[in-house]
Amino acid sequence: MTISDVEARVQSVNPRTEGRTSRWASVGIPLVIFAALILAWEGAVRALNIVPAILPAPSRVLSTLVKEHDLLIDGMATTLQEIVLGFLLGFALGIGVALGVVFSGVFRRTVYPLVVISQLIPVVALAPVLVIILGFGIEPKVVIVALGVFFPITVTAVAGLTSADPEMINLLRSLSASRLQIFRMVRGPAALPYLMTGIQIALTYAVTGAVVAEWPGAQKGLGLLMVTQNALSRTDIVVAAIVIVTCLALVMYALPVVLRRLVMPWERIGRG
Amino acid sequence: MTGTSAAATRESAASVRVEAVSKVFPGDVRALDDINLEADAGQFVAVVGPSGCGKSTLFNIVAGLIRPDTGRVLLGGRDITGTTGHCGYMLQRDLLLPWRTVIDNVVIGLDVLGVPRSESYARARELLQRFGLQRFERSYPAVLSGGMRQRCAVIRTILYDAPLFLLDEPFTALDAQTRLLMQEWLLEVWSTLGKTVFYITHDVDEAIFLSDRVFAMSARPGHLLTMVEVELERPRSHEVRFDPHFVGLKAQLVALIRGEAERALAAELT
Repeated sequence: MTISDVEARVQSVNPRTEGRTSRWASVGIPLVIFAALILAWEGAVRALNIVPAILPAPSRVLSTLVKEHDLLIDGMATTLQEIVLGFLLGFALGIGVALGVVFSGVFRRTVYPLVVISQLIPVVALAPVLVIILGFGIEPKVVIVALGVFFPITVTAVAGLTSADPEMINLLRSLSASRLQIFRMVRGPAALPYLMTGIQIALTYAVTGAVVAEWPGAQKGLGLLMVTQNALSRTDIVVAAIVIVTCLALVMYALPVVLRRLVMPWERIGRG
Repeated sequence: MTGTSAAATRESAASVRVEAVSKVFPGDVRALDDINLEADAGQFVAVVGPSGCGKSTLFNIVAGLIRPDTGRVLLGGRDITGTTGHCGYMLQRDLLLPWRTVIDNVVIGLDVLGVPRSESYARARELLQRFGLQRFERSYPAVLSGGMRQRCAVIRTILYDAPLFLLDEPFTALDAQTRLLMQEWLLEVWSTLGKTVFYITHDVDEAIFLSDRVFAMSARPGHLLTMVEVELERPRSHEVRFDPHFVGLKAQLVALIRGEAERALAAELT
């Protein structure tokens, strides 16, 4: 049979060469605009003789980043610890609740509404209360990060785990696959793209959550640094801390993109 | 090109009997009404009928995915009503998992059975080679053409090596030319496997071309209109479509089913 000859037409993955120029533009133009804004800021501070306590020039912030790096790195280490621990806690909780919701009708009816209501609590307002209950250590911060991470993870995991093609599940059922096998082979992988989006939302939230959670009281951290240095009119250190927080958030945003490529290699192909 | 014969047999072909099967869905939707079908071991049997005649419900009952309200399904004389794992199952959609490579897709039935990968891969490679897909072993399904994907689905069905193959309009989504080639190819494959096949289609021509026996079903609620034996020699090539016996059967079945389709349409319009 010559069927393979008849259709040896494989839709090859077309390397998008024509997209390259526009890709350069999409990276280059924002960079140019960003650089222009920084230069304008620098120029304005110099021309108008603004004191650093009101608004430090970018050059000043840069030198502060270098000079005060011990202080800043120390703060970053603590905040990063809160982010990572809080994320892991919230992630574990979110996946647990999602599995409960997907596999148990009772759980779905009783616990899921509470999950939704939990999101109406203003977490920032909760922070001072948690400091009273849990103290000035990292514990209340971890809890606040976890609370914020928990929700997007739960919602995306529930959506993902129920997104599997029913015909694919039927195919597996016809092969006498167990529920666990169906989960491992179909439902789980089908949930991954949803979950990756959830992780991305959760991680960017985690950065802000950790910083804000330090404001009402902490022993260390970038958020604490912002509050205390602000009181000392060291605006340059505050801005330097903001720069570091922004960089952390950028990394947290990029991480799921990299993770996605590693965990879902099939996505890169066949999108042509 | 070397290697032993196709898959080592888990179970050989078995006869299938569908006895007095009826099914009513909630809302008083009567899908099937007293269906009786029979296929001898190793026979190729088609069920043909207008769309919406409950063919797919019948299919799911034989596969064990749905329980009939009454009646039973026998495989080799054993009552298998409502149980799964006895048939290879293939639909119009290939249902390849996008996150599994071609080879991991075709061995999924063996994964479910717990066959070690070393063994399942060896069997899969032999079939991939035979069906001209060995170059795509490590590719994801997204890069394959429709015909290639359907061949993967056939390989997946063969590797599971169940005594009964259930095919529900597997080639309907393909273009006309590819479909004809796939039909001939399927017959060739089937002749080397000797499995019992239940083939569900709305295409009378396809049903006669492939089968030893054709059951025609009415519009909903689906009941049996007639059964014809196809007495055409095998192996068949596409020229068999011009054989007087073929043409006669086709005229008979088309008239029956057309009448049913018209009746169903009239019922919908009133």
